[in-house]
Amino acid sequence: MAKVLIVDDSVFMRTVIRDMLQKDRSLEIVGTATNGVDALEKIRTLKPDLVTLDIEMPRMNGLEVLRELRNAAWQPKTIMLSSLTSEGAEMTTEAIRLGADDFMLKPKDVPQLRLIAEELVATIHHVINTPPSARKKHPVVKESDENVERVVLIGSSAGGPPMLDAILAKLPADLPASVVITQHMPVGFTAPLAARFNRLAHMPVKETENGDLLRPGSVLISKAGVHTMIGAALTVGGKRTGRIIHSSAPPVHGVRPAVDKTFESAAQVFGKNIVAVILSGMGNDAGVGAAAIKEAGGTNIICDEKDCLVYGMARSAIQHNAVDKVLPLAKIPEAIERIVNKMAEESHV
Amino acid sequence: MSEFEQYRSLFVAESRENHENLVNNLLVLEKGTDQNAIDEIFRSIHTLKGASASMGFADMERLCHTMEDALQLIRSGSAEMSEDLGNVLFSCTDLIEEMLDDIEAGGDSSSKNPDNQVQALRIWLQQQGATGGADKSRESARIETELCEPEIAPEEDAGRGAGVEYSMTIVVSPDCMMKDVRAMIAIQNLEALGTIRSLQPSKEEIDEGKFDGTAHLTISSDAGEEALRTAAQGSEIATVEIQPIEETPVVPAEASPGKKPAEPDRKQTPAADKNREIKNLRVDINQLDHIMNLVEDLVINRGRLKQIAEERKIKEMDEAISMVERSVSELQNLMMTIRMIPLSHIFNRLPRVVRDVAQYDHKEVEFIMEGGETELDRSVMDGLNDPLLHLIRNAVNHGIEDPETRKKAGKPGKGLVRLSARRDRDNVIIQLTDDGAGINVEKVKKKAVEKGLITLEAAATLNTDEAIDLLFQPGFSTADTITDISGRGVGLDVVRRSIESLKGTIKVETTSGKGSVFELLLPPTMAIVDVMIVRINNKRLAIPISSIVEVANFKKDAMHRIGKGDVTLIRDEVLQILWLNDMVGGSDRCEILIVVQYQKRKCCVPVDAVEGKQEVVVKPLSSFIGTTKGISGVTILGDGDVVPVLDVNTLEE
Repeated sequence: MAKVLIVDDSVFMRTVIRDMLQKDRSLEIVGTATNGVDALEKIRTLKPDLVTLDIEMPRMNGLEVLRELRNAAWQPKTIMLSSLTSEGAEMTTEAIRLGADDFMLKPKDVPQLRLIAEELVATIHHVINTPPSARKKHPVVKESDENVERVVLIGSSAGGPPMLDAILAKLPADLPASVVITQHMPVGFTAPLAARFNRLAHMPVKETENGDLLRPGSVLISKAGVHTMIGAALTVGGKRTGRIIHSSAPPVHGVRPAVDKTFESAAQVFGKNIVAVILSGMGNDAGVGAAAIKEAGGTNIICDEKDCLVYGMARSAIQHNAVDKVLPLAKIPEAIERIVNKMAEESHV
Repeated sequence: MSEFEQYRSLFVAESRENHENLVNNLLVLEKGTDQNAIDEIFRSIHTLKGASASMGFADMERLCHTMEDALQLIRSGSAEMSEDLGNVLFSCTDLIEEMLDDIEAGGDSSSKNPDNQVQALRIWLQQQGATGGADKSRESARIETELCEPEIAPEEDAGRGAGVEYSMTIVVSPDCMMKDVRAMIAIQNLEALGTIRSLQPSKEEIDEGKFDGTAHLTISSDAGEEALRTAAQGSEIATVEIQPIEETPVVPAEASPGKKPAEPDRKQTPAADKNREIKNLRVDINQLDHIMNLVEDLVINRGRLKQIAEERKIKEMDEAISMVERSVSELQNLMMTIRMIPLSHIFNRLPRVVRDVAQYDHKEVEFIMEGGETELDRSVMDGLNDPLLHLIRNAVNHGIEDPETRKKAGKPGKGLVRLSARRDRDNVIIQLTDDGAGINVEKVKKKAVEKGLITLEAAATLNTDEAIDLLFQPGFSTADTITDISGRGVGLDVVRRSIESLKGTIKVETTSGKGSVFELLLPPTMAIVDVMIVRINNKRLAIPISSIVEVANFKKDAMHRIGKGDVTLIRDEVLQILWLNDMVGGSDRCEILIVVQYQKRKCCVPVDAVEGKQEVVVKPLSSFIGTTKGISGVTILGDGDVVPVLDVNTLEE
């Protein structure tokens, strides 16, 4: 039974969150705190395994709590519950930098609460079960002129981040491909997401910037608010590679970044040298993109339904008849590595 | 939907708190930069926004969000709080309140459209943007508006190429080896982003090697200029020129963050969901009053039943009655608590009133409120609202002088109005103090003579208190001109009548040049009071326990005659003896003195005997009896006896 402390200055939020967590029998809510000072005191006395932490609070805010916790005797796992604002996003990035284990957006639209509750509970279990990450140094993306010939594309939405954790933690640092992840996220929140992954992954992870060149052994997270498209580029040496183009075209399927946009544009550039993975997600993004990849000769993997919180995106790929493999989550990193290595061998022959 | 309903009242309660905090701190902020107020404002609006988002009240969230954007500029110091902004923000908070009312009543607030307010704030933001600084928040507002409802956003991606048309010129570095390959890659990338309308040289010509290093093209795309530039750039591409072509209807993506066609759906959903459980009801005060009346009847009849049972010594009935008694007591308490609400309910609207009046009159006023937590019966509260509003307007309008006059008088330019409430024994005392000019007694007298209320001779003999009393005469108004704000033809006479109809009193103290104090004394509840039943000359009287200080033995030899009245000495204090001979007839068997107190003044009433303490329902006397000094009403005791209830406040006069 995992002990959880809820920290939020709004009694409304505390109630909503508590009700969400109480549905899971394996979580025990040991208390609630209304500000940072209160939170630190309760962390000390109640020794929770995990704390859900609000950022903006009177007396002491969530970031200060994280700072204090670094020297505290009892160090619980922390999940930030962030507000959907640009400021909230910046503070979330800061929180991740300060050592928060994960973040989620504050529940929105109570009528849709069930899904949010499931996601929060899943995130909590995931964070609790993840061994404390060795706080490795921020790896810097190599400024080399190495060209990349293969890409791994991952499309993900609701319920995706914990799955991405699992995959990124297993992919090796010397993967002979560039990884581009398109995760549906509100504007601003892909930066903290990238910061988090960067801590867990063996490869350096960063948010995309317009004009970024794809490099082998590195991971890019599509920046929210724009579509990440992959264009062709030539290196000085004349070798073909890929470049990130941020398009401000209207949202597709109501989302921006859309997985379809990334997948379709990459299919044109990388063709058969693509491994695309579709994880948990709502809606029917990714279907058209997967079909384009399939047509260009690439490989599409979808995650097994039992490992997905929502199966919408994967189902869309199935409907487009574009799926090559259906794998349980645990087998996906291995499969990616195997396929990418095989591609590398073929290109050298 | 049950989860939704379950949070509704919690949401409303917390949001109301935040709304009040927001309004009050905005008022503070308006007086000048105050870091604490800004922090409070942000916290309140942040919580409001978060909670409304959680509940799915998108309009409210949007409104809060835009307010936050505007206030962000204040917080960062790149804009200043102005009267205009204040007015817009207050119209926003008013709307939030209306939304909360709607939500509390079971609605979803969609009937309250925030477009006007949001628009007004946007305009303000744009004005600030013109002087620099607002771009970031505008940008974030745009993006977030768009992302607020990602799941219901329409699929508007169909028309690729239906975007803006651009003309581009791409120049490949002259010393590049494979000019044509570079150009083709750029063109392919561009094709992925939009539709190329014209290309010079054409693809075929490039393929055939007819490429001199410069390509001209027009492309229509919705991906934005930056994306097109990035797509065309690359190593050994020397320059990329890009220019939007004006003739095409230019609809930049930025310009359409607004309404989504999906909106009607949102309005229909709750309508279809009418059968949801409602946990909070708004009850008509009349119905509540009716219930209260029935409870009062029950209390009276309970007393009668009890008496009958005692007289007839029916044991079984005793038990039944004690059960009934318990239920009735509980019901009565419940009704009382349901009807009690904190004064902050009406207090919290007053800072706005003070602000508006001060703004209108070009006065500077600091308004302080204390004791908002004091509770009053709902009906008292309802009757108190208008008189209080009137007094507050008066205090600012007539009491506080304009800043110049104040400075001349050696006072700070900013006037002070203080409203305080407290529970004093069984009364609630509300005091309204201002440090203004005070009431000009001579002016009051002169006016009263002019209006024919009194004669010149009578005026000369009036003392200050009597002169001030003239203010409360019908048809008296000292305002030189009739303004929108106060002096709408209703004078203090109306205020006094309203207060008296609540069984309260109003008292004024004034010091010329220093200010005035209006003091309202109100019973916290109108209906049920604790009384002591006493007997004088074989007639029964009820004295409210709240006004009794002590009960003492009456020693005739300790009575002395001073002037026209009798006094006695109790605990080293000389107290006036009030004989109730006029009321109940003389009695020479008085053995007990009831010491009663009204505010600071004490006096004592001689009675024959004390019967006991009882909770009774005070029924007001019918108006055609006229003014009955000394009696606040009557009560019906258990045996059916009708007993007058003594009103100590008016007794002394």
